[in-house]
Amino acid sequence: MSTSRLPLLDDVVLLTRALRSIGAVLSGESAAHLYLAAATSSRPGQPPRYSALPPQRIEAIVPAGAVEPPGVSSDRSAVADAVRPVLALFTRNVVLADGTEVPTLSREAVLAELLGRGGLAIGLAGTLMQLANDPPIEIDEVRELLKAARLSERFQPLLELVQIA
Amino acid sequence: MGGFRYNRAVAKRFTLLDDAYYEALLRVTTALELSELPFCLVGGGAVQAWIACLRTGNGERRLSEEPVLSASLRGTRDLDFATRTDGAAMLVLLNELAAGAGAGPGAHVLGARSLRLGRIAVSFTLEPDDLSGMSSLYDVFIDSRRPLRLRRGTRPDEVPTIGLEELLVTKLTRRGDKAKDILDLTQLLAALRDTQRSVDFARVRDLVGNRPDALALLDELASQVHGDP
Repeated sequence: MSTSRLPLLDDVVLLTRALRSIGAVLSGESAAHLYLAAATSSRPGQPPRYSALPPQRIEAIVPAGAVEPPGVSSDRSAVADAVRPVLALFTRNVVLADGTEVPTLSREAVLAELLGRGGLAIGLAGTLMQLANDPPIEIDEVRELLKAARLSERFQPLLELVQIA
Repeated sequence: MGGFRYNRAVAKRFTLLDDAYYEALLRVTTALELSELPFCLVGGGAVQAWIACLRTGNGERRLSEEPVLSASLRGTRDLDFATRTDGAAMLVLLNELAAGAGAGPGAHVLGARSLRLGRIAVSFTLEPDDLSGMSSLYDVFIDSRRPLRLRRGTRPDEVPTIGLEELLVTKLTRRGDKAKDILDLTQLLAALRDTQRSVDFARVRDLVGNRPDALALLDELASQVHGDP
């Protein structure tokens, strides 16, 4: 039995109003965890019903001119820079099992971010593709985002994950 | 943007939660034990066995009693074993296994290194030269085997499996399908964290040797297990 709680969800629930008030969206590893929690009906304050390494921090893409709330790291990745001018196009409302709705970066953009980071983040990308693929992830969109972020060389791991997910 | 959509692969992949896969694992394990050859489960099957063993308290609980397992085992198409014998002896062993009771009509031998048990493909390495790029560690890997306990019913089954540190080494140093290996590494690591099992990273580092990419990934692994920022 998995024994560790997932404090991330508790923190995200507390931060939701602050994120929404400045038009920010959850991104990076923390967004991937949110999708996994939603897909597996994991509840804040309880052990997660999925397996993944915990995120190192809570990240969000903050619109230009806005200031990130305390406890949130501003996402300055290449993918974040690519989507920030059109952030509304890549914003989704993820609904947790307790009903909390969290403004979150689209799965396609989150995948592009994880692939761009490389290393163990690729494992989280694989878990996301395995467990949170309903409706199906738009692979072409991930590719376009990687291209826009000048990370086209990161498309190969995505193809490998598509084969196994 | 649009067009191609990602859907699940057509070819069936299996986990330890699939009866056909588990039965094939037990059948091959039993045959190899009777032969008294040194052997161990390796590859993606070994990753599954370690994760399942860790998360069920070394077989204290049934696989079906651990809800996180279905979300943490990566499906594979085959079972991989490492052993030490010659091709002729292995052919005899595999033919006996395929002809034995319970093997089923879908059992057939495809050479000294390959067997089919219904929908499950089983592959074997027989000697160091079969392990491209790491032949010097072949016997180290086999000698590291641990009898992992897995339980479906009332009694646990023991499956000789490559040691945890050695399994990490094989995953860190593989050259092809890197994404698959990183996915395996992260799931292993998550199981280690959740069960507070320690890893001998010094041994892993020693076995990895002078491979910069693998060492960089190992540093990232170690920081995650120890919870460093």
